[in-house]
Amino acid sequence: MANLAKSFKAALSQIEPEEDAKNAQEAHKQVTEALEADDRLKKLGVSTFLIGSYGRHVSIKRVKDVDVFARLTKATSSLRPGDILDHVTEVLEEAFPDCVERQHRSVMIKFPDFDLSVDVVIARPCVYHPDDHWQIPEKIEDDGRASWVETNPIKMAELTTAANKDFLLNPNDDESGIYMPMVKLIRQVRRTWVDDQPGGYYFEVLTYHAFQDLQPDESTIASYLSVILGGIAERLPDYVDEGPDDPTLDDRTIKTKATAEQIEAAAERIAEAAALAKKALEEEDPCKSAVLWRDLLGETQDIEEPEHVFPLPDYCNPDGSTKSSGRALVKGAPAVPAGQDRYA
Amino acid sequence: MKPRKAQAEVHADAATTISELASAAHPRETGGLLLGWWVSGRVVIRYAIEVPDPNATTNSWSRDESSAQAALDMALAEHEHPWLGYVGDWHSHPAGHGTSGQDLTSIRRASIAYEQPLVLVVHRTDGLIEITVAHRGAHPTTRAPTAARQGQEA
Repeated sequence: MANLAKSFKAALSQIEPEEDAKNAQEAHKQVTEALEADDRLKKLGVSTFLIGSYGRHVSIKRVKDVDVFARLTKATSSLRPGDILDHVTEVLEEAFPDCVERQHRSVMIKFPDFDLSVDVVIARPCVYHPDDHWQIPEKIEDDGRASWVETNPIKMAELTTAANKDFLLNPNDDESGIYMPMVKLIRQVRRTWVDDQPGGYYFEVLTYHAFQDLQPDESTIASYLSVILGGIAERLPDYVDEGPDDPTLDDRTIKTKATAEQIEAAAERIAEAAALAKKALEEEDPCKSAVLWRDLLGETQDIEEPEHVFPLPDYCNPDGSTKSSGRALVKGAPAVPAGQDRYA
Repeated sequence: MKPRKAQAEVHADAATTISELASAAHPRETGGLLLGWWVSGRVVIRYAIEVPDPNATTNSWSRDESSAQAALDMALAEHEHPWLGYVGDWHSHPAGHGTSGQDLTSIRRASIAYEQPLVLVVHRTDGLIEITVAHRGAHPTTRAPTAARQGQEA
């Protein structure tokens, strides 16, 4: 069994949205400044928080939208969703002329220079559980009426951080959290193997449940990926009619735009992907194994020149054979010089 | 006919690692091992690893056999690379000067035990590196300092 630890580290680096992360941070800062400068929002105790995959440090290249949770901490039950969304739209239009678009339940600001957009989601303390949950506007009807729906995206961030502390690649290293890297790899597998729906968050929740149910204790990224993908493949067919439990709200399940047919199709594809991961893990030859992992993780998406996410070791040919070392090649020495040498 | 001088090729990964480790250790020296292989008269330096010297100073770093061998064994296990092994040493010079007489003496001594040439990389604070190739204890050759980049030769 080949661990291919270096190639997995390189794969994680390949899908890391470094440039997007800097831009997202800057866009979030500018939006927050615009919201906090408004008197009405200030009185309502506006306090922003990055949600979405970027906010939870599980986003992958490319990040095209960033979600900002604008909590109105002093809002009461009298706050009307349509009214406050109108107001936030006006505030943001003034700060970002011609870049703002009112959505059904949020306000989107485009940052063309960054090639990304920010979705501002307004939230008030939940009328029923003000200390635990938030409420965000539901779809606003044609007559302007709307209601609020419970949500708790901050809890997901907390659960993500906790899971990354609970599951470690190296039990002696508290910084070796494997949960976040695994969510990224599963998101990349979804992008490679699943047609559009269900989306990335759906698979993030499936990953969370797989970790909680299986309590994996592996020592390599390869084996974690195989185990978690296998767990997801096993459970996905059960969610054709109703999604997995929402880890942030009791007695709620995850909603998706995916139809039953799309869930079934995704389940078939993920089963194929899980079988491929198992084969890659069991393959003894590192080059043959690397080619299988490369097929599993596909290419970087939404960029001009896609690249393979999983690099083959430099002693491997693209077909999975090992490069001929030839007579001219001499392996590096297995031992360092005896004694001690001082350099100055 | 004069024997062809051995050449060294430094992969960008190795050069980047050396620069980062040198910066992190500043103002003390640090150093470690060069990992790679030999092919057609060239020394290919694919990776660099650090071997911390608890007694390193602002102008000295030593390679200790036991800790260096442990670091090499760990790196080889991690990389699972069939060609990879020890091909030389690197260390930083926070004071900014280039390869010293002591450096040449040490790499020359170390190279006596190997059939293939060993490489010494010295990282300077100006971001330049110097590459010295030593073979079988003979007087080593050093190339003029140059920016760290792929395909450097000495």
